[in-house]
Amino acid sequence: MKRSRLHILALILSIAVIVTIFVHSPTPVLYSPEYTAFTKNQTNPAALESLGQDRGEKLLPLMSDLLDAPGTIILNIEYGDMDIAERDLQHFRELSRSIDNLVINLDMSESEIEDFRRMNQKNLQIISELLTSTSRLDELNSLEIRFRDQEDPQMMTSITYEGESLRNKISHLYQEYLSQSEPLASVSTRLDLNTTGYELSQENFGDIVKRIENEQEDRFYVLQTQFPSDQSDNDLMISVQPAEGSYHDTIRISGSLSGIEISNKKVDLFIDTAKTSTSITNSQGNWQYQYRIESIPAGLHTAYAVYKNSTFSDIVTFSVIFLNTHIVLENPEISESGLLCKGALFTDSGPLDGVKVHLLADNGIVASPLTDIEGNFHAVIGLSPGDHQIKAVFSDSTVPLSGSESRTYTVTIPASGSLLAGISDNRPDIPSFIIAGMVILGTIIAGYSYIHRKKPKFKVRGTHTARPEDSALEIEEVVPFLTDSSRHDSRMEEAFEKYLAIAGSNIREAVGILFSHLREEIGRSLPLRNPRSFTPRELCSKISGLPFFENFRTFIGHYEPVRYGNRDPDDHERDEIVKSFEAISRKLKGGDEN
Amino acid sequence: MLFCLVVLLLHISTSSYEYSRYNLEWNGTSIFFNSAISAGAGEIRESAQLTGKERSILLIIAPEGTFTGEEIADIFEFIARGNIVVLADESGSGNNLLEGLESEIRIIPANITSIDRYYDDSSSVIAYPSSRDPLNAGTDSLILNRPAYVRGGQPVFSTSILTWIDGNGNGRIDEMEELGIYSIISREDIGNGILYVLADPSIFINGMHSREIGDRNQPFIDIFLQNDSFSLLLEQGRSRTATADAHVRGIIFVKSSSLLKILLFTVIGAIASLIVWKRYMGVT
Repeated sequence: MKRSRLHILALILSIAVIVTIFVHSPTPVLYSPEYTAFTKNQTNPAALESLGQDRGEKLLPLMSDLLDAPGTIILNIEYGDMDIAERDLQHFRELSRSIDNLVINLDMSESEIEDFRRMNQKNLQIISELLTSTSRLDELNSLEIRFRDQEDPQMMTSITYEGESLRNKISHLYQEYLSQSEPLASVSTRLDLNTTGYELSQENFGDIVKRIENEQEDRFYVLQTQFPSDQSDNDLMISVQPAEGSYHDTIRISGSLSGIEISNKKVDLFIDTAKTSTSITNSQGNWQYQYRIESIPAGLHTAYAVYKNSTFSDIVTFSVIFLNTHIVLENPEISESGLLCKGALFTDSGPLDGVKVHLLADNGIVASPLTDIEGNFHAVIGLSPGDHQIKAVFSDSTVPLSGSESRTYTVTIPASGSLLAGISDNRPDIPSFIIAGMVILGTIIAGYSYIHRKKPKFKVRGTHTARPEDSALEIEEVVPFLTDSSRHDSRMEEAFEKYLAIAGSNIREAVGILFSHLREEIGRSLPLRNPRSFTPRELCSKISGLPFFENFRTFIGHYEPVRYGNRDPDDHERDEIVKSFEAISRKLKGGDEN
Repeated sequence: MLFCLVVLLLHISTSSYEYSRYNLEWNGTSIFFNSAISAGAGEIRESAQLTGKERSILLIIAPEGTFTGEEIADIFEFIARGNIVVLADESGSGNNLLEGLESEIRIIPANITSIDRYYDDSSSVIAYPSSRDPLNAGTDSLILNRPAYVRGGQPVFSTSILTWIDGNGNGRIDEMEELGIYSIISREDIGNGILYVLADPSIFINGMHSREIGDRNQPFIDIFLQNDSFSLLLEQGRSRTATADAHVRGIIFVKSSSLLKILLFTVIGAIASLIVWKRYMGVT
């Protein structure tokens, strides 16, 4: 096969190998512990990462502390130690945060531990509101004493009404606390946790509710007996329609002001003791307010109206119904811009609009889109290559809606590191292209340089021990040097000058210098490995058939007697030595074939 | 050439079967067996060899197949005489032996996983002593590798309550999976002896002998290797630790017989001598 075809074939094979390497470079199949780590019966521990500690050793003690925490707070509330109760509540919050993190870290979001965590969160909210409400009631008790002594009927009415709202709220909180008792105790018992403290806390909570009810009855009695309301010039009526509603429903609260000067008067509306709005009466003294149910907890709520801070309406109640939500997530789609997640949030009544939902990837929130008017939501999220668990979650404790969670999808985000992956994805991986191009180009240049490297001037075949008379040695190729001539001349001149310098006094050394030069140059030209190891005759046998063979033979013929025989050559012989030296040098340079 | 030959011989004299004592890789038991043999452990290839044995522990690791009536009877006699049998199995193959011994213990081949784990993988489970027993003396916890669990008997090692059966194999606890405590090792007294059933034979594999795991599991392993009161007998008739390829069995057979070894070296020496002599004759 011709050399050119061999070179082309070698180039093609090199490119094929490089491309093959790049195709597999993103996922090299190399041996590592992870490669053969799993069998049906066991796993290679060398391929696993040590956790360094028992993960679950904190969990059960933490759950036990969480079960006892509400009881401590409730007891302090019952005894009126609000500061200590506040401190204990802060500790309860920290413990709750710990279990939130632990459940996520231990990936137990679908277990009984998660049920416990949710119920604990609810208890935290209940206890927090209980503390706030009872603290306010304590303030009202102090105010009541002051305003009773001052015989201020307006303030007494306001205090009594607010007390009624708080009583109502605490009673509702107690019912919620009780509703968690059985499921929480069931989970705790299964996990072998002590529920004694938690059961006791329910009794103490009940005691607080009874005490507050008694206090509120006393307030109403005092208000009705000591501060009758018939002294006012006006009467204020209130009504609620409908008596119950759910999230995003509208409750119409209306009433009328009767008595003197009823037109165009401001009437303040209080819902759960908080001033919610101010309505203006019309010419007949009627007023109304459309209350949209949003950030208000489920349960019974109070409303009353006040005119001029002196005329109070009755207290009316309305119920906010708790709705269960359902969230649906469609199978996420991988697109050029990222992972497209679409879904919907709705209740049994219909879609939920304007509500924030969370999209979680591997239990971390990655997007929080709002639902539209039809309850739909969508978001595009960016994820790293690999497998991810995607789900949608709705959770908002400030609204009368249950939390909900969609099914979990496992999506695989493809890697885009390999050259061909970049091509197939229609998103060229520029760095890979550049590197691949540089490697291929470098290989081509290296190959070309090697193929066209400087070759020896003479290629000689034959044995090292061939004798000069043998003409078996053939010249394979003669390529005259064209690039080294100036250095060749300078070396030759240098050698000849050294010869001339000592030829007169020491011809033996002088001819040795000439021979050394010729041996070196011949060694370069052929080339020869370690030319200094060659004797004159060995060198002669090596160059048999070459153009300067005869000249070298003549040179050796004169050199050996002088060098080894210690013979002093005459002028003719000296001329012959010099001429043959020059002829050899010329032919080595390549300028003369003769 | 000689180096390559040594490497080749080493390679073909090992096995890749799981639990095999000839398997040098992570899922073999070569390390444990070498230590046991060095410590003077005996091998039982037929149950009849148990006759007359006293003050001994018979360790059956990962049995396969069905124990015959005769084998069960021999093992029963062995225990009843006051010896100890430790059956390490997670596949349920040992259940027929347990039935034959009229034991109430059964191996349940389930995929147990736990929050309490040493490695960040669902196969890693930690078991703790659940009652005072000589088998858990000196051991605070046992690191397991994809264990099953046992039912019945008196628990010796159990998991924490944060453990569940991973039915769908996703490594996470799902809604339908319940937390609970699972026994990993149980004991039962039979006659004058004791039967222990261990639902994780992987404790004995090479990969579980790393320095990290060794600190925790070594006290348990030492009960077998450094027991002054009882001699260790390694069951090699039904156990998968005796599994080897045919050529490995052949090499082992030769290695086990001094006469065969002498014969082999004699043949090799004769062949080599013949070759050298022929060359010498050809040169001269």
